[in-house]
Amino acid sequence: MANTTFNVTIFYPEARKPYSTFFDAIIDGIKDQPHLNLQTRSINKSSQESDVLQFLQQKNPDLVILLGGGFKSLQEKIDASFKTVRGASFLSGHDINRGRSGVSMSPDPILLFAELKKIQPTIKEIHVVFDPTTNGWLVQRAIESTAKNGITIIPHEASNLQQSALIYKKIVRNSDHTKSALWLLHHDPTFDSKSLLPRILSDAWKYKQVVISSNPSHVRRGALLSLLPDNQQIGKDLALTTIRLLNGQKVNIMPMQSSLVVANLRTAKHLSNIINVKQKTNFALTYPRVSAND
Amino acid sequence: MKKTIAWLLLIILFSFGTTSYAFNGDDNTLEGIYGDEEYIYIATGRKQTVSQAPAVASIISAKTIRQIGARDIDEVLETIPGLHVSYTAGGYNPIYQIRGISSNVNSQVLMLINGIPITNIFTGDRSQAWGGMPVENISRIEVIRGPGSAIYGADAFAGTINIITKNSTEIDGLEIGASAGSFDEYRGWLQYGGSIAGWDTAFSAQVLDTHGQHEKIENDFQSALDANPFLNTNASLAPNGVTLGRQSLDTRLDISKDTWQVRLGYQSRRKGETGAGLFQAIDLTGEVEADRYNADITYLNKDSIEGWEFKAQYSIFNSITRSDLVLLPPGTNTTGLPIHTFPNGVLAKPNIYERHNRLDLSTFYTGINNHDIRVGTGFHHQDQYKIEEMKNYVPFGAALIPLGSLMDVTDTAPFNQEKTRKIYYGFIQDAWDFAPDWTLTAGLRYDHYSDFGSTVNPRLALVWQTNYRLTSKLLYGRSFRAPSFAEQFNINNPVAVGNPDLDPEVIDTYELAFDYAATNDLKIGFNIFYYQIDDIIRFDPTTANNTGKQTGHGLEMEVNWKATDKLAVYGNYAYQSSEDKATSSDAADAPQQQMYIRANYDLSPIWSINSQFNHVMDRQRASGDLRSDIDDYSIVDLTLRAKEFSPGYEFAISARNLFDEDAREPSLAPGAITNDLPLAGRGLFIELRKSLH
Repeated sequence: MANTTFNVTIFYPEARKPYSTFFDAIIDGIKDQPHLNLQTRSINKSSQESDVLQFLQQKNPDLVILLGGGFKSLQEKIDASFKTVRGASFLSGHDINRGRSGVSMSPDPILLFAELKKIQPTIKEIHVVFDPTTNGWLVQRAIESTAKNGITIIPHEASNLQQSALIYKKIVRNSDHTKSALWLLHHDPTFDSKSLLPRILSDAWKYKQVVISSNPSHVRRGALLSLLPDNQQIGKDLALTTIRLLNGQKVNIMPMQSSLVVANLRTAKHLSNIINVKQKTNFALTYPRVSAND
Repeated sequence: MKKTIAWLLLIILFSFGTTSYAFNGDDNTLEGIYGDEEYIYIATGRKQTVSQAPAVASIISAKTIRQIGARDIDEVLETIPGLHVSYTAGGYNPIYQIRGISSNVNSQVLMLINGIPITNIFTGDRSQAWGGMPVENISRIEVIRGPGSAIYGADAFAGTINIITKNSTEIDGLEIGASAGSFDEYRGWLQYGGSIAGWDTAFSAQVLDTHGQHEKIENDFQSALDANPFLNTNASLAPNGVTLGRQSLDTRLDISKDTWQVRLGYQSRRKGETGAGLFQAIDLTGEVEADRYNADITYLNKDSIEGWEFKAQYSIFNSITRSDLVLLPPGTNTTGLPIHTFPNGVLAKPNIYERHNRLDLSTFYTGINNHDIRVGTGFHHQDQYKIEEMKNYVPFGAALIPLGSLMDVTDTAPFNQEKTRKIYYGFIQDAWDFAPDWTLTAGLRYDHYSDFGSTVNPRLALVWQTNYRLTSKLLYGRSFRAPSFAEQFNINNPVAVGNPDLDPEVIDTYELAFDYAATNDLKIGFNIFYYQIDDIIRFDPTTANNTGKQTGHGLEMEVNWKATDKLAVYGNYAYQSSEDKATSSDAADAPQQQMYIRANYDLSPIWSINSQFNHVMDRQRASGDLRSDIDDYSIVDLTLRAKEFSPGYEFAISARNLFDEDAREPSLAPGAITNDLPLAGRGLFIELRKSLH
């Protein structure tokens, strides 16, 4: 079995640089897996669904890896006829319910919390506000993994922004900030980057609440830390998922594995020396940058 | 209370309009995943630079450069608050006036490419044959207004301009492009970014051929001679247009792998016409040309010892400038004696050859809690290894006596000397987080020059994170400008004699700066500054001496507003008042006020329009210059751009100086060119580019 080679087709959206380098790196990561005989094909807005499906019927691969979150109807048509693995997109509870497999762009909370622990070892509890149908799986994973590390996840289910805004307000103002952190999710219907995020972050500054996020762009705006995508690793994990699936194992959706930390040093300083300065040079990216006028 | 109300409003807002904030699938685009292009570069291995000392700084990215339709770096620099680009008569070489500090050779500004100076030692600027710099290969430009000697050493005086070129991840496979437009200007470029034999490779070649703008100069230095009845000449070529034709080639190669990076560059300048003339007399046939080579090899290790980052760099820069000039036109005579007439004009062919070798070592240590320590040392060898000159005159006092024909005076009476200079330096800087929200950065650099001796330049920066939105900075720095070889070693020039005993110019600058993020989409920067310059080098009256002194103060403000997803607005305003202490009058030439606004609007996913408005105000004359103050001017540029209108293609059309404003930059006092130096009138340029994956 171990020596079997599988035929796998990768579909990825055509993109300009620098975005194209993202897919190049993921595909490089997939290529590291020796038991896959890979074909790649880019798709763009003008690609005809029928052409793509015809192409697949001719090649008849053992599995199709679908990169990127676009082209949903095409992806579903491919699902109907082939085994698929999804990557480079956000996968939710809805995808799990449909029995899909893949690697989500949401970073693994276990890794995120490990980085937080390095910076602030006193953290004992982590609050998270979420929509259970979208991110329940991720929060569940966090709850299961942290119990043994002495961290308690305090989940707050919400179904809309009004509810979540109230909960966020309460957390930031009332929790014990020496031992609690707030974890923001990347894609959740109970969260909004435009109006809610600035309110949370300015209150967090005032009350010295540690905020970490699954979304690296929140760090620029004042969250303490997040994880950047490690594209090679995403590729490797996609390949692993593919192999397992083709060997008949049951494979769920997994979160993104990465150790590329993005941190806001301004926030870190404000939170009173919680940062271990040795780590600074190991961070992949730090904020704030030199003030930009564009 | 205020915050509670804000939360309440937010909650009420959500209760009415939850659906409008609902999760939307568009976030699944790549921008949604990353939020910012910057993450992509990190994730694809772009090297991060270690943070520098806090300063009043601006960064302009390749994206903005393209949006505003800039063709040359000067158009980009003009958009920086407190920086105005003026021009000299000779070749219209740029004078980067920062905060009112201006001189004709502009040696008070340090220009770096990828952190390595491109200063020519002869006059301390970018040479007589600079010939501009095209922008296609620029990733970003970082401009520090204020002192930088504690990090960069000499000449980071009024400001530092660091140009970062594109690496392999920033060029989309093979890119080709061309532009053409007014003044018979043609540009073309070819760039490659990718991986070759395991090395990240970026290559760029850019060519330019232009006749240049041809605005008219009414009278020149020769006109003044012609007006002298004792000289009995009628030689001036004025009125006539300025001559600004030139051809240029800029090539750069950047390869990197793991901890190593090698960069090579070559720039050629040919047929560079002389603008309004080196002697402020129109020269229709004179030309300058240059060959410049650079290479560096850099080793950067961030991983081998925890808490340490180590960088070693060796670089060379070789610059050859050749000139063939008609300093004064045929028929000129400076004594009035008929035998002293120059039937072919006053001719000079000076050539300068110089090379620079640099070794820089630095390390960054973060192993002590609350301290970031940076230590470095290095050596720099400057070698003006060849001086050549042919001329058809000898100076006698202020007069020029004909030699009959062009003669090689290299060995008998050259304009300067073959000289070298050795520089050793060391620096230390510590950023100390001494209390929550407070950081004190202290830096000190020691430079030893083989000619004038030692100089020590400190830097202090106190940064306070005042609240979530506001950062306040109090800054002090001392910087120096090393004397150029022209100032030290000029000979056989009765009006500008070198002095080997010169000391460097020194500037002390104090700044108070604020960065305020009013919202995520509205950012405001504000600073006030005061500076004092001592030991300004002047040919006073004819020999270079440290006689000048200048003080100045002012403020700068900038606003960056992302009004909607489609509309971005940026504006800045700068005010300065500088006084020449020798004359107790305004330091002259630089604008006391400057205002700049630009807006970029995405009309559709393909089409975007960008407009910029630049208003230059209040430029005073030097003491003793009796002309009335030079007129203010406003220039509007408009650029329309179509991205991906066909796969891989991009098109732009750009109007520069749309309303054909009569804009002028000051000519040298007392005003040989009475009506100053005219800038280009309206120009129209089109551009087409294609990416080949």
